[in-house]
Amino acid sequence: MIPPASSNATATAQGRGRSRVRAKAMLALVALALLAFFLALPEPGDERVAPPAEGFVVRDVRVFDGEQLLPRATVVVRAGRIAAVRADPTTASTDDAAGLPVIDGMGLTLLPGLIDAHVHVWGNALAETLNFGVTTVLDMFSEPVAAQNLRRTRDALSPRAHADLFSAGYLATAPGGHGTQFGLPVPTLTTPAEAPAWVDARLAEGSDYIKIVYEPRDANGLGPPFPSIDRDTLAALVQATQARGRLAVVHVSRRAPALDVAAAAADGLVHVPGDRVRDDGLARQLRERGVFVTPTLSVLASLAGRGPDGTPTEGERLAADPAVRPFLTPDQRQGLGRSFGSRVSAFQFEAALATVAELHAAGVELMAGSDAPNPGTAHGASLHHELELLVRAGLTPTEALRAATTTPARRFGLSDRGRIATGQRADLLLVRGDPTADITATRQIERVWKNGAPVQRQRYPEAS
Amino acid sequence: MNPSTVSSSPPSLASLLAHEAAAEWRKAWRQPAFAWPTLLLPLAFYALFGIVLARPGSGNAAYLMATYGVFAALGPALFAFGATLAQERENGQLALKQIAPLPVPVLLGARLLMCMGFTGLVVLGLYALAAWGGGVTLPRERWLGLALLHVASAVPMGLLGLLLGLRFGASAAMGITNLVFLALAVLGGLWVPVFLFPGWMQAIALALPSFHLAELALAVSGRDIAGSVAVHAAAVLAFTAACAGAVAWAWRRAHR
Repeated sequence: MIPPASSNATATAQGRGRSRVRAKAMLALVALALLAFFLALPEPGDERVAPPAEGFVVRDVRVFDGEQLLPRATVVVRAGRIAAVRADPTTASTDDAAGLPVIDGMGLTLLPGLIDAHVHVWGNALAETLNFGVTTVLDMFSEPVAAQNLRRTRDALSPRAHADLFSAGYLATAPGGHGTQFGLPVPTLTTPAEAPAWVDARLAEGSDYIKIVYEPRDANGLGPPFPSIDRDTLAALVQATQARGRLAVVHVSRRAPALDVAAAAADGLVHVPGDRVRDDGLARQLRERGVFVTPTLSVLASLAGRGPDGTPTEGERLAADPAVRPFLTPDQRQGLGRSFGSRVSAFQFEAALATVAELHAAGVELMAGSDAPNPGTAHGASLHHELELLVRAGLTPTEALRAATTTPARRFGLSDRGRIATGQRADLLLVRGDPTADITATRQIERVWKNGAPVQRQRYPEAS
Repeated sequence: MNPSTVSSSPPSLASLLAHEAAAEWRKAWRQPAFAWPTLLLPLAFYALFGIVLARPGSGNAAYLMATYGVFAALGPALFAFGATLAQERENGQLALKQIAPLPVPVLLGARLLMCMGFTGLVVLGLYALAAWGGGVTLPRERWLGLALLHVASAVPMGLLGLLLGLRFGASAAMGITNLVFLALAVLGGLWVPVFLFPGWMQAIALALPSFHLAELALAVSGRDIAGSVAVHAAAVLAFTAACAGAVAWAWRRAHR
């Protein structure tokens, strides 16, 4: 309201003067409070890091330590790390186990927290993954922002309710190529000359390694209906990445491009080629160049769709497994029931299994990766399925378990993960039975620990 | 202090604005049924969806902070300009103020300042919840930039509210303002992220200023967004200009 300009002028003028001073003082106070507030808001790097959990002991348990099976051992975990692994059953409990809760491991097997070597992370993926004892994931294409935030506290040993994320960030692909169809602002490239700057940009965004999509047309002009980088650009990307001390992994779907990848000496293939086994020396070349392969049989099984007589898909089988189903979210149960459209017919699941057998026989290093959350897959659960499929393709259960523990840890330089040994991060999975005898025992999860703190598994009711 | 020091010339526009804005602020707080829900609703929703129900490692707390800040601007602006103005127009308060004489820009500007103040309060609460309840961290300049964007969002929303208040009678305006408020909040992807919508709903969002403001807020908070910042900013400016023009037309019509 407009203040009166007459009557009781003196008193009003004094009143106005006082209220003006009060108003200015209030304004100054508010401004100061705002300043204090904005100075107090946390910046990246200010994150509070909780202390690690105290620890625990698992006694008289079968231990798969990442390489081999110890028939009976006692494992001591303290402050987020493995403090001791005592294989000698006659040793009495010593100081390092004093005061810690003890879990009886009779009839159970302790595994390193599993590593999924091929996922795509967004939304609640990391929490869903941990629900199945998969404690580390290697993301092969997603927006960098989630990884940037999580990376700041990744090394800490504080209790955590989600799996740890290592990420490629944006993938390398041609304009309009595979990867650009998801609505994400993927920076593309076409010439070898752009490769070093492209790799530098990814590393600046925080990529832990570089993923490249290579889907060229063959000599007859046949191939996928979208553009791809050429062989020289592939080689330039691999070279630029390795010169900067990082791994270069490549998405291929056929054997001929895989030969180019071997020639370029990339570090790994993130899918197994889906065409029939041929005498082209692919397995030998991959072996000689030390190229690892993550077959992602889970997603290839989903591409196969339903059997001719209506038998359930592999995904549906997984979703129906009583050891798995209660821990899947309703969305995950639905996703496992889905499969790709029949347009994607280049893949044959049987051919993929045969190729895995061929690669394994030739001594190529294999890693377990699910390519979740593609149709027919689910974060966490599909890694257990992948282990089963690798065994179906010819690996022993122990070899399959290594593919989800020591192999990815070693190749990707995850020095504190993938093994049960003194000093390692205490990401652990306790299961009923012996997965080195029956690989499906990995799903019989008794307990999960992340950073040495217990993880409460989440159960979901059936949607009506 | 002697009478001759009393000024007899009219107060300056800035002083008028300050006094009117203070009066609007006090008036708003004297209606606790308006003030407290406006303040607490976005904070309660954020606490639920962004903190309590958010799965660990999902980054939802940061994402929803950006979109809920725009939501914080929606409520005060739409209702203070929409429903309240229609009531004041109908019961003659508006005419009274204009006879006073209170210049129209001061009248509207003061109300806008009050709305921005309310939005600012919600935004402060939102950031406090996000930072200390949700673990969200941002570089200092992004916190500030986001706050400025969130508070400035009250301007286009206020113009839209004003349009509604001028065109509709008091009772109709309340209902319609509620409808517009919900539509902009839900369909614009402020409560549930727009990437969870089916394709046709995502298409609808493109037409809504709340969606473009939310995308701008996400960009300012450091996320990569699918469209370009320039396009979203242009959409918001175009909407603001269109509303301003419509408001001028509606004002002339209302006072014929």
